[in-house]
Amino acid sequence: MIKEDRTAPPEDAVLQYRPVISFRVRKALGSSNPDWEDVVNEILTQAVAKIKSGEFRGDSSIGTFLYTITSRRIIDYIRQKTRVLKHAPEPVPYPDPHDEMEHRERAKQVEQVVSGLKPKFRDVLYLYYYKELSREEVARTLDISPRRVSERVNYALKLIQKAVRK
Amino acid sequence: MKKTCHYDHLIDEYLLDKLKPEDQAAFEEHYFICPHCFAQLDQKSEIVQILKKEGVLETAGGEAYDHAHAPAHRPMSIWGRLLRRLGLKR
Repeated sequence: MIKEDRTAPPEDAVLQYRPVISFRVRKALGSSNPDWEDVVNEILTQAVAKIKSGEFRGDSSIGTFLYTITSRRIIDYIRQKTRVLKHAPEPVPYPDPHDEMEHRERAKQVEQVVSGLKPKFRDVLYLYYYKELSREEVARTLDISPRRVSERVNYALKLIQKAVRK
Repeated sequence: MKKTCHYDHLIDEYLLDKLKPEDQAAFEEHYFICPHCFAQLDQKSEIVQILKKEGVLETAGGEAYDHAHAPAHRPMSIWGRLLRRLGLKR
């Protein structure tokens, strides 16, 4: 996915990282926060400008360079937001209808797989992902080894991933 | 793309916000340069989000823990034992 091509224009190199940057920003801001897309675009613009101005000299990989810019921008955003929030209410998020539809479709697929799972697999998923117990806690709760917990989680997830593969 | 990575095991804990801040930062820096981990993360993230929705695992899991389904040698349901472990039930 991410191959560095030093001869390509900086826009191309940076844009390949849009999915990673978007993921990181949405994780930090909350995926229902409507500002995430603006923040990502600001990061991309800033990164291209820095490359063009020679600020990125290639001492680190472009991935690390973009990680640094992304992390700083997220911190700035949160600081700004904390100040603004003291005076204004949180805006209502506007989900993208197309994304929403795809997500609902995948959710249905996941639900179908989960409902067809044997209880021993469903139980592990429930304790591990829903109740957020650690692997060791799940193992103790179910009287099985932590290794068995991982095996069951991985098996169930593989089935789910197969069903929702895009 | 490589098929495994020694950061693989951090994916779940990252998604569930269980990593220590320093491990979280290290993993975030890592997935910017590791297409394998990012691909895993991206796909798992949505699945975990769906699994955490009310009703997907909650109802199914809850029913699975009924006494009727529990093996005979377990006198108390999983929930009973869990609550006892957490100190919420004797």
